[in-house]
Order: sequence, then C-alpha cells, then structure tokens
Amino acid sequence: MGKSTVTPAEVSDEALMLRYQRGDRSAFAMLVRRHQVNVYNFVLRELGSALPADQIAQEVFLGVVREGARFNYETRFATRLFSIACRLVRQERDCTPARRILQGEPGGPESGMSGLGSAGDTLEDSIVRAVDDLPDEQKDVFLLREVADLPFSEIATVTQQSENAVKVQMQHALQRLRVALQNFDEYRRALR
Amino acid sequence: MNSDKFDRVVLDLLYGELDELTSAAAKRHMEQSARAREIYAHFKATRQLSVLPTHAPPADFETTLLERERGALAELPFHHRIGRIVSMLAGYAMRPQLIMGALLLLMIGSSLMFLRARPGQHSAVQVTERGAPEADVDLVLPLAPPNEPRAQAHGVFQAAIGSATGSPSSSKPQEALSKLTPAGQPGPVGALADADAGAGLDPFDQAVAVYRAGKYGEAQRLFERISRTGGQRAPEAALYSAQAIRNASGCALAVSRFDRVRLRFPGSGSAYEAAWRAAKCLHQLGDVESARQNYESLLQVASHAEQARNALQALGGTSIAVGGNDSTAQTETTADVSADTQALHRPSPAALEAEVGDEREREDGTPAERAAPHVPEPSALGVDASVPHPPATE
Repeated sequence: MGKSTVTPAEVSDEALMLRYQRGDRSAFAMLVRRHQVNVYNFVLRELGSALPADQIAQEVFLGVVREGARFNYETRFATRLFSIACRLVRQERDCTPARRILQGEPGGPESGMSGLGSAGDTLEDSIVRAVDDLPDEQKDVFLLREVADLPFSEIATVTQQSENAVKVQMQHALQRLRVALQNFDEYRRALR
Repeated sequence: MNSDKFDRVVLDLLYGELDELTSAAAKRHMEQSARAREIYAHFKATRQLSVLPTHAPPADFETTLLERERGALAELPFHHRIGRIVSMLAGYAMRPQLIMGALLLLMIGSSLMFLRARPGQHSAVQVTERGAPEADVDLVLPLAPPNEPRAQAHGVFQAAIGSATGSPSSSKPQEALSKLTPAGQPGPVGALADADAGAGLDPFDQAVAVYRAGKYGEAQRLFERISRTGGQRAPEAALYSAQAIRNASGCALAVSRFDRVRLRFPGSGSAYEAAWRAAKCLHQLGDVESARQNYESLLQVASHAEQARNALQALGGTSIAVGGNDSTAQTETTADVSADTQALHRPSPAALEAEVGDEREREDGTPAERAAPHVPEPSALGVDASVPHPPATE
C-alpha cells in the first residue's frame, strides 16, 4: 500500500473540507480515505507501536472535525492535518515516554528487531531501527518529509521552526541514517 | 556558487525543491567541486535506501472513525455548532442559483411596483356605455296609426302605459304593443313584416316602419328629414329621431336631442314626452338633479303628471338609499364621472337654444314663435289638438 495520490481530476482537499463544513459528511469520508495511510504510518513511526497509532490517527481526524468551523484556508489541508498529528504525537510521547522501548515487542509492526546493526539484519530492519533511534526533532522532520511528503516550508510550519532549522535537522537525520546504512552493499552500489 | 551556499541548498536539490536557476548553479558547482559531489552522492544514496515500509491501517479504521466523527459532531460546543450552521447557510446563500432567483424576484417585485395603479385620483373604473340595452330598445312603443283619431289613440296609449307600468307582471313590451294595436290591424310585428312593402305609405309611416324594423340609423335620418321639412308631424318625427339616437347610441347622445325637441316644439305632446324621456336618460346617466328638474317640470302636465310623481318618489327613495349607503364617496365619484361623461356629449343650454332658434327660423320661424316660452303652460296640458300622438312611454 502506497501513499494516497490525488489526481488533478479529483477535488482538492480544501474543496472537500469546505463541503464538509457545509454539512456534506461524504466529503469527510473522502478526506479520510485520501489521508488515512499517511497519517497512520506517520503516527506509527513516531510512536513505534500499532496499538496507540490506530487511536491517535483517528484522533487526528477527529481533531479536524472539532476544528472544522475554524479551519484556516491559508494553509493546506495536509499541513493542518499533520500539525494536529504532531501535536497529538508529542502529547502521547510526553505521557508515555517508555513506549518507545517497546518497539520490538510481539505484535508490533517490526517485531523481532532489537539492537542497531545486528548481524543478519536486513536493510529494511536497519532503516526502521535507525529512524526510530533518531532524536524526536530529527525524526519529526524526517517523517514529515518522507512519509507525509510535505515540503520543507510546510514542515517548518508544522514544527513551528524556521525553514533553515528544518533543513539542518534533516541533514543530521540523513547523516545518522547514512551511518546505519553504510555497511550494506546496497548503499555502496547506490554511491556509484 | 560556493561551498557554503551549496551546503544550504543541497537538500532542496536532493528533494527537487530548488528553482531551475539555482539548481543549474548547484549542478555546475558539483562539476567543479569533488566535495560537493561527494556530499550530494551520500545524501542521494541514503535517501534512495531510506524507504520505510508502509503499513495499512486496520480494516475497521474508516468505519470506526466515521462513527466517532458522528459522536464528535454531537459533542461540539454550542458556538462551534452555530459556526457550522452559519457556514452551511452561507454556503447555500452563495450559490449562483439562489442569487439568480433572488434577482429574478427583485425584478418582478420592482416591475409590479412600477406597474400598479396610482391610487387616489381615479380609484373607480370609468366606463362609457354606448348604445342602449336590448331590453330598453324593446320597450320603445310605436305610434298609433295616423288615420286614427288622435284622442282615441292617445287613450289607447295611456291605457297601455298604465297597464305596462302599473303592474310589473305585465311590463313586457310585447304586451304593451299588443294593447296599442287596434283590432283588425297589423300589430308591430306585422308592421315589421310590412316594412319592406311600405312603398305606398307616406314618409312618416315609412320611417316608422324602418324604426320598427330596428334600423335606427336609417330611421333617424328619415325622421330628421321629416322634422326639418316641418308640417304637422314634425314634432313627432323629431321625437322619433331622438329616440332612434337613444336606441342606437345611448342616453348620453340622446339627452341633447330630447332637449332640442322640447325647445323646438314647446307645449306639444312630443315636447312633454321628450322631457319625460330626457329625464329617464338623465336618471340612467346618474345626473339625478337634472332628472329631478325634468320630472318636476312634468308634474303640471296632465299626461305625464302621474308618471313624473312616481318617478320623483322613486328618485327620492334612490337618493335616500344612496345617502344611507356606506359608500357615499364612491357614489359621488360615480355621479361626477357620469356628469363629466354627459357634459362631453350634451351641449350647453345656451348653445342648444341658439341652435334650435336657427332651425326654427329656417323652418317657419317668426319672432313671436321664437319668443314663445319653453316652459309648458298649464292650459296646454292634456290633449292638445295641434299635438300629434306622442310616443308611448316606456
């Protein structure tokens, strides 16, 4: 399953949100179908566990419902959506800081992964673990860029930082990931 | 581009967020700088491999979310719900169909405002009636045959008038006509049948036949010609001419002709009958005061006194009834309109006097006759040997 794509023929997110504000609940259902995968994976990667990710992702959309009357059309719907997601994720991280160590628990999305760069790890496991080990600020920026597909300017809006600060965080995140990946042959082949 | 600037834009170059000009400059810098090439290569390889696996949300994610959304809507604070309702109403109000409908209604409303009647000046509808009602036309009674003694015919007419006007059940004109026709002689219907065969009759009888045939225009011309030539039957012809106009064109035009008969042949039976018919026409036109004056002038005429008295009584009752009505103003307005209408068709008394004087002078007029009073004398009341048989009253 990949990221939801919006073809030009489809209605924009903002138009759907306007219809929802006017009482068209089917527009909200369409928005959910369009963004649920991105939101769910963002929350899942941020929290590292599928159990709260489902609930938090639903809360993200319910936050849109509660803020529907005050929706600001100066920003994109996706930017507003992930601002809510970031806020809820931070609240959840603050409330349950120990949850991050449970990433490898049975039933989790990447169960069985433990330790950085263990022998026999696949590239995918190493990437997941490396992303999960990123500092929160770097992980926020990396996930908003790679999962939510937001440009740096909008990431700056979501994280309430300057755009240069966002880029610095992203450079640091990529350098950390590079350290985790540099022992793999795939990385060496990609350099050529 | 130098190394510092390259370090600031390398991520934008990596994710394709750089404009073409800066992107070209960065690529030129990489061609010249091995360090820049190495940095970009490592970022590019890391990004290519840093693809996180995507997980699908639970199957009931959307269903559960939509159910929770319904509950969240119900739990919204009051001001949020008001804002949502306002947003919904604003959404409907801003639809072009609604705006076009409002504009259409505005145009229709403004059109109705401009087209509505201007109140105050003429609230009542003004109707000008031309011609005579069919029932009134039928009520015109023919003259007695000229070869009968005048007194006998007059008595027959009076009897017919009394029977026709006295009992409402016998007010049909045909009955009155049958009473007016002597036995053994053709009645009005027979006279109508004989109208075409009237070649051997004198001009007056021919005109009467045409009149009875309902050809009032032609009859009026014939009677007018007889009246102008003078003679014994001139007053009667003038009266018939006026009555023909009344039947053809209505009371508004006939009143002046009746007045002319009165002025041309004062003291004659035709003059009294013309006064009677003029009074009835004036009454129909709503000129109650003029009708009353005419009726009062006939109170001293024996042949019309009773009818005039009855008419005056009826007129007084009408006046009382009108005065007691709530719509007094409307009645006055109607009377004013009728008087105005009558004034359009009725010449002034002075002009009428002058016109009649000229006609009288053309016929046989002598200064003494011109000076004759128009008011009927009491001695001339009743049956006058010089007066032809008047047309029967309705």
